[in-house]
Amino acid sequence: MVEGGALRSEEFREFAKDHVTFLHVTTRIPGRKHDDLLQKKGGRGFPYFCMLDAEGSVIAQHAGDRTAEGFRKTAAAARRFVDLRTRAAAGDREAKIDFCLLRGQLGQIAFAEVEAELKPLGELSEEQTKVYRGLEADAMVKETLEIEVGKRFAAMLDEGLVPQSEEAASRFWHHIQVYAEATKDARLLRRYLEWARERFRDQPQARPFLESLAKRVEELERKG
Amino acid sequence: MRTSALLLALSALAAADELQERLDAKLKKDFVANAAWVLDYDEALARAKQEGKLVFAYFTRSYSP
Repeated sequence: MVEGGALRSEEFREFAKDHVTFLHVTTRIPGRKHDDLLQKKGGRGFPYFCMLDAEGSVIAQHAGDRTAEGFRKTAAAARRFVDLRTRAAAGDREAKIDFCLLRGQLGQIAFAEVEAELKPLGELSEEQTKVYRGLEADAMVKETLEIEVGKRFAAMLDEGLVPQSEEAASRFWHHIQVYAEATKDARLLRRYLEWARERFRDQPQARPFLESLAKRVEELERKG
Repeated sequence: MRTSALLLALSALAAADELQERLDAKLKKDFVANAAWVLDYDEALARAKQEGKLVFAYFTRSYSP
């Protein structure tokens, strides 16, 4: 447990001096202010650590070791982010490029946006090009998995070809869902919803997922 | 009918009391004294602005262990 370990250490006490350490406790006490802050700051479970700026924006979510050393790394990444953001806003071309690439690396903006933002900024350095190409490759993997595979599976579904083994079926339907969401295909997403309802019928913990999925399907149908 | 509504209100109060006790117990843990934790969100942001620092946020819960 982090509370009995890292957070009680001398190293953490030192680390804490360089930051504002904010402790948020979800209590479930009715009417308590900010009791739902975890979700608002991108947390999906406990414990959750992140770095915030003075406006309350999440600059970095901690994903590494829950040690003082691990927290230092996340804090350093957050500082780099803020530093680049400040320099980019002041018009520094190099910082603009690096900041754009960093947001791409953090998944805050899609590759298409990185591409568009970098276009007017001119030539990239060797190091920047390396990062850019890596992001391009990431996008191609994503595109292939989301679109190419999904398109094929959707065609199979239209032909009435539905896998029967548990393993193939769950992969098949996963890609159907991803494709339907990416292309905003209401009809296809409804087919997935029907499958998911049947598949998770006996699992009460899946209910919130199914409800939010149903909501998305209805939204898409309204727009369509 | 009125009695059951009263009982319901009383049990909600008792539950809230228990949740408050759990929060108090959480805040007495050793790790809390190891750093100058700010417990209020708005105060944390105000101090970050004032001191030019970033906020290191730790989210935990008291309603269950």
